[in-house]
Amino acid sequence: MSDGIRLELLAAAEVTALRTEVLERLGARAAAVTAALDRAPAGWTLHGRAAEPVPFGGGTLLIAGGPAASTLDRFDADLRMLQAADVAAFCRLADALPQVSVVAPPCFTPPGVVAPGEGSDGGGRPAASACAAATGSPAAATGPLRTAGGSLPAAATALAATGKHLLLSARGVVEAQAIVDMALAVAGGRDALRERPPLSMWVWPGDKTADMVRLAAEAGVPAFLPVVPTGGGRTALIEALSAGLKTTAGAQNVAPGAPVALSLLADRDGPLDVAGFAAAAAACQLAHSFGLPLAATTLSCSAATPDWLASAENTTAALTAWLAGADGLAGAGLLRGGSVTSLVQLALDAEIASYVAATVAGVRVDDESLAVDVIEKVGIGGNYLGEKHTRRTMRHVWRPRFFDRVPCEQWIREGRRQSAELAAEFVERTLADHHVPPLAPALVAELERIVRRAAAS
Amino acid sequence: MFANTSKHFQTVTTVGEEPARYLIEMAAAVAGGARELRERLLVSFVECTAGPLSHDTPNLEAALVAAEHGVPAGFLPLPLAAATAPATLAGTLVVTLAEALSGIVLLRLARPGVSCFIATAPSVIDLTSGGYTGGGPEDYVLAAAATQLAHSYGLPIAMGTMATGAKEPGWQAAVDDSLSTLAGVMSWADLMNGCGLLGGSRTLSYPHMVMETEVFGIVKKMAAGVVDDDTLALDAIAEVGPDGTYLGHKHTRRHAAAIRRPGIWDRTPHEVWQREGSRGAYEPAREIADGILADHRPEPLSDDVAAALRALVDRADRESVDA
Repeated sequence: MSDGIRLELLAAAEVTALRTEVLERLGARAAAVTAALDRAPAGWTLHGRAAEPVPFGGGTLLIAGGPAASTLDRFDADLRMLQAADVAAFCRLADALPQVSVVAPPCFTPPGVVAPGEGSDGGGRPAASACAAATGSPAAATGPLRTAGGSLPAAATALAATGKHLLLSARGVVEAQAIVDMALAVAGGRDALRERPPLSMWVWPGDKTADMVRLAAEAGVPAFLPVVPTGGGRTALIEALSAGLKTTAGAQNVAPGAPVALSLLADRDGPLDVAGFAAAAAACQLAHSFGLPLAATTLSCSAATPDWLASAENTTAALTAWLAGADGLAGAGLLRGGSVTSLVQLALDAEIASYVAATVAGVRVDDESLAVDVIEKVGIGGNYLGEKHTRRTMRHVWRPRFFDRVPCEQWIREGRRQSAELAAEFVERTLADHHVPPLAPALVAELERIVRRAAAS
Repeated sequence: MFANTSKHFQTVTTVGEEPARYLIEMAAAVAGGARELRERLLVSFVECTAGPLSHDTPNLEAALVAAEHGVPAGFLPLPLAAATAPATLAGTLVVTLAEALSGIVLLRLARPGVSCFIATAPSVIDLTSGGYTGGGPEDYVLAAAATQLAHSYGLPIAMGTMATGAKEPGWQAAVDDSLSTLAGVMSWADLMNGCGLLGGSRTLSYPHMVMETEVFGIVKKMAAGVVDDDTLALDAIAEVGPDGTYLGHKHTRRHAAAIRRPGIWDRTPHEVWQREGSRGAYEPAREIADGILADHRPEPLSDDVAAALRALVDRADRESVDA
């Protein structure tokens, strides 16, 4: 049988060398940190209010979305800021796509609310420029930091639009507490939350990171902790990873066994190039060497539209992450470095994920698949089409949704249709037909109360 | 070919003994003689098999001519799982290797020790049309597995890659090309065939060739590895210390040149990209291709070699008419 294909970009000796460097970075705290990390789980189960539970850790989950604040909803449309209806559509499409396991809703500014300007506020929300400087990520500067209330206004919309597990962004302690309160409300109590968490918290980098992670850990909400190699390269990766390990260890000291994953944020203002792909693969190996799961946010391609560049970047990113064993792959449906959402891009990224997952499944080798008897029977110059073995096994052949495979003359006759067009039609059909079980009115009211309370803080 | 490139080229497929002998004569003329050709291998032969499990006689004859003159020859099975091979990947690999190795055994029986290689571009039937897909996860897994198997036999492999089924250099082409290139590089294929082809290898596109070389450059850089004493940069890290910057450091200046610069990828801010016409990757690739075709001049053949080649072609035309 095949266990699938795995890629180890770093040889064992290289992992050891980088681990040593990370531990040296931790200095006198290295022993305490590694002891605390021994209590951290390597995986857990993610639940949704109306979806099958999915195991996180040991396989690659596709995460749709992220804290973008703009949208491009058709192939050649101009950019505009996201609105509630856009967030709902994005989440509902993600709900319908079987390849998507987790939804990270994008953000919008509620009507009548002014987006924040410069300066930090008492809620622990860092200024856009400071966060952008810290992370180097365009999404940091244009995502929830440009929206009043961050991801919270979108949370209620998202919960209504998808039954899958949600990943909500917290920029500060106030938002982190609100996410914990939402998780409690959706799960139905503290014990239920610990056993079946319906939400995870995506902690934004800043001076309150450790506080936010501790809040999540105490409540049993899984946290995704940012690892942001600012400036790129191995040095940056080591520094970022050591900071992440310290924070994770802190969470374990507060709540042993708290589910904390590392989340590699791509640091770039251009295409995710060699350094980014290699960093994601290396980061996976290093995180796993410390017993921690890692989600790579490497699908947020730099392209402006769902075109050749988007495809080349995301296919390479996806295959690298899958081969390296990343536990999550985030950013499906995002363009321009994660700052723009696109429904077409989401559908196409799901296709890429399906393609890659089929590729890394490897070759099953057993008597049935070797088919020696069938080969002897068909013989020289024969045809396998009519064989029972073919009928029995051909259903495993991968089938695309948005690939063109017709003869060239037919393709020209039918209007030279591109993958993005096919995806756009699929999106429209899906949004028209897909149904998500509604939220109970009482829960909707509670979520709105939580958002108002956070906004008033 | 000889007049327009100074690089090695492979024929796919030379059919028959006579054309093979003409080709060998031409290659020898360029190399400077038959003995020189054995030392300076300007050409190699790729011969398609006739699946499942057979060879066409003219292809074998051509391969034997190559072997006779010390020119490497390889066999290219093109199994289509569910049609000319079992629907399972392992069974397809069995058929692939049987076809390729049988040809190599024949050549080595005729000419012990002759250089041979495996070439392959396995695929799976399109379940909707019954046609050739030109790209799919099965293709790349099969190709990577075939590479491992070829190496286990001590044979190099020319892997069928790129050559997407897409009709244009767009999203679909990029998915196929990225995956097939990664599969080829990460499995250490010795050669990767198919650059510049669209429509399931039926269409040649110069801009697409430029785009594929961009993808290849990225993947190849990735495979170059990440760690050695110099790249760990421990001394530089110690010197720069906390909150420092590496921009002005000697180590940075030494290694900055190794950072890959993209050829056709856009890195401009969105507003700039829109203002400059919202160009995708195809337009700059086309400009590069047009520029190369307008300006690039390969090293010319000497007058006597060019004349010898023309004479050979004339003789071949005459003799084929007479035949």
